[in-house]
Amino acid sequence: MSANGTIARRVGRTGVVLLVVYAITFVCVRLTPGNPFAARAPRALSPDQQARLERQFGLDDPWPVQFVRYLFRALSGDFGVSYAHQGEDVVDVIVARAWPTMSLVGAALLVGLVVGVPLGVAAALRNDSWFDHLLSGVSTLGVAIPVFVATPVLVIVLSVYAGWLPAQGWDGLISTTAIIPIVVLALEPIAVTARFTRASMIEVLRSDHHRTARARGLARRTVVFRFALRNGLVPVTTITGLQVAGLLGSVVLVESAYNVPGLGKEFLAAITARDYPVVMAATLIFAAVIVVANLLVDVAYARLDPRIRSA
Amino acid sequence: MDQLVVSDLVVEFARAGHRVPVVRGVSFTLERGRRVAVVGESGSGKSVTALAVTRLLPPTASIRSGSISLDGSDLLGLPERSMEDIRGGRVAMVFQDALTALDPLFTIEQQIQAVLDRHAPRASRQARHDECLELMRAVGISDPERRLRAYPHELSGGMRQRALIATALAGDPEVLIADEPTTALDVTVQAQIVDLLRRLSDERGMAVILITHDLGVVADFADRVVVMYAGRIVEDAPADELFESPAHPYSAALLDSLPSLDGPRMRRLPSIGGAPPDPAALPAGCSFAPRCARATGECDSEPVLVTIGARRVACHHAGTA
Repeated sequence: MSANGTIARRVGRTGVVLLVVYAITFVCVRLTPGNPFAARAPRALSPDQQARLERQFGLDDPWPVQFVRYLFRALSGDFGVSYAHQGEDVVDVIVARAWPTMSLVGAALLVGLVVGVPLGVAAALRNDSWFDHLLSGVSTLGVAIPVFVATPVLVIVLSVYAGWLPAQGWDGLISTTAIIPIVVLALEPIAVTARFTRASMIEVLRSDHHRTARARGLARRTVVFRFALRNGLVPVTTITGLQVAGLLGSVVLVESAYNVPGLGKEFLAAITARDYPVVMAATLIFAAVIVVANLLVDVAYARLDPRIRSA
Repeated sequence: MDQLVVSDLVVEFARAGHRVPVVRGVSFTLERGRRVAVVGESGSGKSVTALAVTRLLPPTASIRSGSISLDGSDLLGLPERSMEDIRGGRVAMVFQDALTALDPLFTIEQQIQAVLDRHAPRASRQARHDECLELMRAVGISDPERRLRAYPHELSGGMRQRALIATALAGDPEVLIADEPTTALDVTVQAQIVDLLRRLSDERGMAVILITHDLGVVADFADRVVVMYAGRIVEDAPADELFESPAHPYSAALLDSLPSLDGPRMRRLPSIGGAPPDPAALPAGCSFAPRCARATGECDSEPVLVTIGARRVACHHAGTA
């Protein structure tokens, strides 16, 4: 299989994935009880008003007609107008909010790796020590605590009582407002990365080639950092791809809880307001991010392991 | 002159809360530049003995007693740092399956260079590369320039074993311990690897301990053969003497189970009945007695290793056959 062929196939598959996501979202959004207008009207709309609004936004057509129209407009970059942000283009709504979300997710992922990998390596090197057991206990907590619990707890402790950090809001990634959301989001990636790194490093440290390296007189430190670590990171890359999906779920909750004006908060608000076009577009963006993340994981995988490259 | 001296080595494994002796008082010497084959079934303690020499035993194993010395200096008492100088630099090991013994993520050159950097640092990049090429040629790898850039999975089984030997030679060791280096290979390649080890031993004056369960590969290789059974040496003899007239019934049985070119053709190969004893439940007396055709009441007491001429043998019936 040539490289071009592989790439073409992947792009094709990506298109199919996005189309399926689009279709499922389309159906789910319309199956949700309620409608975009009743929620916003100061008092009950008359059937007449309701029908007029639906006609105006093309919601009176049969679903298949709506779906095809949406799809073709979306393909040309037109995602329609938001119902909730009166008359605002959906693309503008999304673009204005994408940065806080993507920077939070990116930062949490980075923190997860930068903290998780060394913890995992240290635990593997001290397998069965008190440190190893402590890490395994703490990492269980890291996975178990939901972000909608961690966020208010940190806010109460660090903002309300200690007064060190703001209790909500967003002044950009390089600001004190970013600390609590990043910490909350990074808990699970740190825990999961540490566990996977530990498990895979323990396996590497028991491997034949590790014994060979030791039999060549290479110092343990040299062997671990020059050879074993790269072996140990191969499975960790896979997990990192999966983390992105989890983080996109968590970021919706964290942004809402910490009042970050990002895609996640907007997404939740759009669902509540039945703002169909925004829900659709945001879902697509999330799906696209996951697809791209997995693509990057595959690239990293191939860079780490020559056996994947030649397969 | 004796270079490597192992005396009364006892190695135990921790298994289910018990200490199970796997090597039970092994003593042997290796003279400079000589070739010794250590032969025995799996579980006879031959690999564990080799790992003990380089102090690379798995964490569940421990050396209970005995001593190992290299040129008079005690290896068991050395701090780990000094042991690292010895490993690869003076005593190198080659393991069974080169596919798993080489790191899959690094090229052959990267793996050889790591050893060079450790034991024989070269000044320039070019000198390091030249040394790698030299080692590849020494182990008989053609087109070394290309093979250095290859990853282990891109080489054939025999080529990988040669490359693994090249990483062992990089530290210019005085003693090479090859633990079943031919087991994963087919027969013609096995012969090539054994030939290579013999040639390297001659060219470099390097002593070699070849650990194998296959007496067949030993005949043209070893100066001396050490036969192990259930954690003990049962016979230690010059190779030609052992092949001519094995003194221990176990050695004789091993020889009998080799196919021969000039024997009757349709003969079914004899095998040794029964199985080696469980090291956690060794029979009292001679460990081989339950499988031995010549066992008598005398064998209820454990025979000691006695020197008879140029050989040592542990059998009550040695020399009486």
